Amino acid sequence: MTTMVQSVALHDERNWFQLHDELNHLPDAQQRLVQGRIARDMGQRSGVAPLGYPAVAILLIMVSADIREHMDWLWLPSLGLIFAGFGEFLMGRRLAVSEDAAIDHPKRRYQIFSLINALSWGMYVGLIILTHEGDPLSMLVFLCTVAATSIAVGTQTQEKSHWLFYLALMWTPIAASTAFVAGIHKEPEVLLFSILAVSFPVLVGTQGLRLVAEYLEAQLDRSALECRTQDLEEALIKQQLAEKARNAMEVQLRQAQKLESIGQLAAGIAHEINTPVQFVGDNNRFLQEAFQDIETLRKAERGLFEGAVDGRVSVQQVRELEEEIDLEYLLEEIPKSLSQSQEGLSRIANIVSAMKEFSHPGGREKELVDINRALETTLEVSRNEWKYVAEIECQLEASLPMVPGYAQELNQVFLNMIVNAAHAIKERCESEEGARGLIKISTQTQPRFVVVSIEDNGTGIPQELVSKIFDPFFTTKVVGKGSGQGLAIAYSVIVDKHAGKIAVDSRPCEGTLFTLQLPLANNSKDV
Amino acid sequence: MKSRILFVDDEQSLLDGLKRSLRSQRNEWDMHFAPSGEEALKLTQGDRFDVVVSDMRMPGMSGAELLEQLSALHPEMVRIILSGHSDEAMILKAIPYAHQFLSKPCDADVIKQVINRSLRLKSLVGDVRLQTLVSQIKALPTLPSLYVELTELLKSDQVTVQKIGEVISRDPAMVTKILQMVNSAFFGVGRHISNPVQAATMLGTETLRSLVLSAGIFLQFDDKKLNIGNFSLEALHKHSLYVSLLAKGIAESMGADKQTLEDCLLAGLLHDIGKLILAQGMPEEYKQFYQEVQDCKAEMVAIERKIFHADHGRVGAYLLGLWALPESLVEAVAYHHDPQSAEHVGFSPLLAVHVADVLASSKSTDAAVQPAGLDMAYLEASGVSNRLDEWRALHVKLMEGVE
Repeated sequence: MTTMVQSVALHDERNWFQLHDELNHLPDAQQRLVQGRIARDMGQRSGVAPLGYPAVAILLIMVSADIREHMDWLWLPSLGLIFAGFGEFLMGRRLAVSEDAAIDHPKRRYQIFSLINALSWGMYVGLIILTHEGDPLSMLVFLCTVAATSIAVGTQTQEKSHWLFYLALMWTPIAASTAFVAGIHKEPEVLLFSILAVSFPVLVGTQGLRLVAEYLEAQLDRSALECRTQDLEEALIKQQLAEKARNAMEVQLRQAQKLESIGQLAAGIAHEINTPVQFVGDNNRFLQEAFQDIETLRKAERGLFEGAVDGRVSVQQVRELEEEIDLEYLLEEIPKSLSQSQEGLSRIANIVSAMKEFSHPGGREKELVDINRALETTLEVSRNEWKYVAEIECQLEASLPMVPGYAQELNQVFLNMIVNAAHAIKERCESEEGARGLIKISTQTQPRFVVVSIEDNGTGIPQELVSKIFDPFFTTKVVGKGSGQGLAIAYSVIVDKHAGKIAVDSRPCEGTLFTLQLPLANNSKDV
Repeated sequence: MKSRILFVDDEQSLLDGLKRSLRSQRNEWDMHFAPSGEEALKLTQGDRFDVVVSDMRMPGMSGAELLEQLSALHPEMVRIILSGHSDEAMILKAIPYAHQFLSKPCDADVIKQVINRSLRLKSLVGDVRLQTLVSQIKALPTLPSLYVELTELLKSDQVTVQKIGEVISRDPAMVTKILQMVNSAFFGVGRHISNPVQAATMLGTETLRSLVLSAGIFLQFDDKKLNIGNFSLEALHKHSLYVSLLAKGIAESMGADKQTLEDCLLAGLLHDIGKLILAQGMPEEYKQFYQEVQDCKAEMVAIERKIFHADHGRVGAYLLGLWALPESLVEAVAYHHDPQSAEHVGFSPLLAVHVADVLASSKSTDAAVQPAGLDMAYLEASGVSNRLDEWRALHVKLMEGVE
């Protein structure tokens, strides 16, 4: 079984990034699936948290007279926080319920709002510190805060790479402590604000990150497991379907091959029948005319008898008439034409009964098959295929025991082999002037088997192709000439259905020998 | 002198059967029987034969190969296939060389009839050179535009056989060839069919495809080869199509049945096919002929007879007969310039085509279409001379429609 979807291997010692890498290595469709799940959960998890940003901003404006005093500086970040906070909240809701296919759009909006949020926070904090102190340390704190917040937001939306993550991990504590040191000398509300302002992103950045990593891990575990289960199920279903389709196809192909060979045979049989029909008809017409002639002669002879009495008619006239109708010819030809017609009619009868026997459907169960008879029947129906190119030499063991098997399928196998042999010979005759084909067919009994060998002196099979000849669809015939199923079916019938053996010995330019072994005991694996 | 017929089949019983059933012909025919293609070739070396009837599939040399060789060695021989095979690939091989195709089993009467008809045809065209020429024709030149249209149609996936038939029915050369296919039993039909669309339907798109695209039964007109004065295939086509239409109109005015209408339509279309044969096969003589027609303004048919020893009507008819097209067509084409040569009087496709051709060509200035005279005596005898004014009016009306 080949799995259709690559599954994710999980192990314990793996951090978020390994997971992330692994995610990147997944096939597109699966990556999309996992990312969709993560993003959705991100939205769910963000919940009412973004509303905290505007809440804190409004709260600070309300509690700190100092901040209200500097509102001409602070209106932009305040507005940004209020606006982006609500926006992020709404997008989080949307993200939580988005379909995989439509997740990109809300995710991007969510990220933009998060970014505005982070920038507003940074501006807010920076401006407050700046209006109070304006010293370089405060500037540094401002920058750190911005960086940390942005990174925190970045991790939230899982759009980040290694170094940024470590930057965030390193910089956020530094920023926090610096802000704390800077604020310790100031008014208590500024200190409180500094702590709040810095720790929030730190909290989100570190704690949130851990949460994200854990969550991701869990998700990946789950999704991998799900994927695996899904894979397995899908693969199983696919396998079953493929199996079914293959079975159906096999049946169809076998049917098609049978139809193909019957169609081919039908044309040949029509010819085989048409020829005797033609000459039997011709002979019949001749007999009709001959009878008329003889009738005329008889009348004349009658007249001669009568005339002999009074001497009116001379023998001469009758002799002339005899000559005219060529009585001698008639007397010679009539028995000949009768016997030829007889022979023609029995040829027709033979072909028809062979055809009937050949295509007799047979039961589902194995029955005892007379292999010699099956071979003779097959030769009869395929006569038109080989008679122009080859002689047949049959050495059938008279005391051959019956073999348990499916008569019709064995007929089909014999037909395929004989037709192949004829084709190989025909090909050789076309390339070599004066070559006359010979197909040798023999049967013999071995202790536990009946052996059928079919040998031709045709083109043979090149060594490198011998191993392929039983493959379905393998054919060296031109497109439209053969389905490439003949020998594949022979293999399936002899080996699979009759637990027999099939061997091929072929030399290019010398010919091919197929040896079939059919077990006498019914110990086959039924398919 | 007895006609010499050669039968070839690998089945001795079949040859014996033929010999016996055709025994009643023994006073007219000198029949010979060969059990193989090789034997047949040997027999033809010594003596000439008029007709050969060969099986298709034989060990050694096949029927198609035999006919191919015979068409080169003794081209004037009529070549007939008598086969029980329906294998299309094999039939395609024989198509260029077999004039007719009979399928086994075939009644002895049919064989007699077909052979006798072929023999009778030879009296149409006495000149052996012409017989040879016609006998070797595999295809006639078709109008390039129609040929291209047809091949395009056949190459496309979504095409109805009706549409193909309509294109074919506009070209005399294509019509002739396709009717050979169905009137002779090449594809198991073998009966009187004079409707090209019906013929196309019988063959089916797939067979037509292999016939046209791979077997090449239609030949594209070669301008360079047929560069004779202002002889133009287009003008000949136009004239043929018009005569076809007018002949059908005339037949309608006589209240003819459907078969006769179709025969008239077809005879009109094919009546000048002999010109194609002459211009294609004997371009030098055709130039001379054209010159003389221009110079002395003598009657065209007379000049044709002088130069080619036969007029284009008979040459065309010889091909149609050889290709087993219906007898009424062969007659109409053969005698369309001298209907009194036909053995009967009364309305027939011949009469319709004769009148239509004369009316249509009366004002022609093109080299391919020469004016001809009406055979009033024949019309008189057929009792239709009083309809002539009516037909002239029909012609005027049709011409208005065309122009």
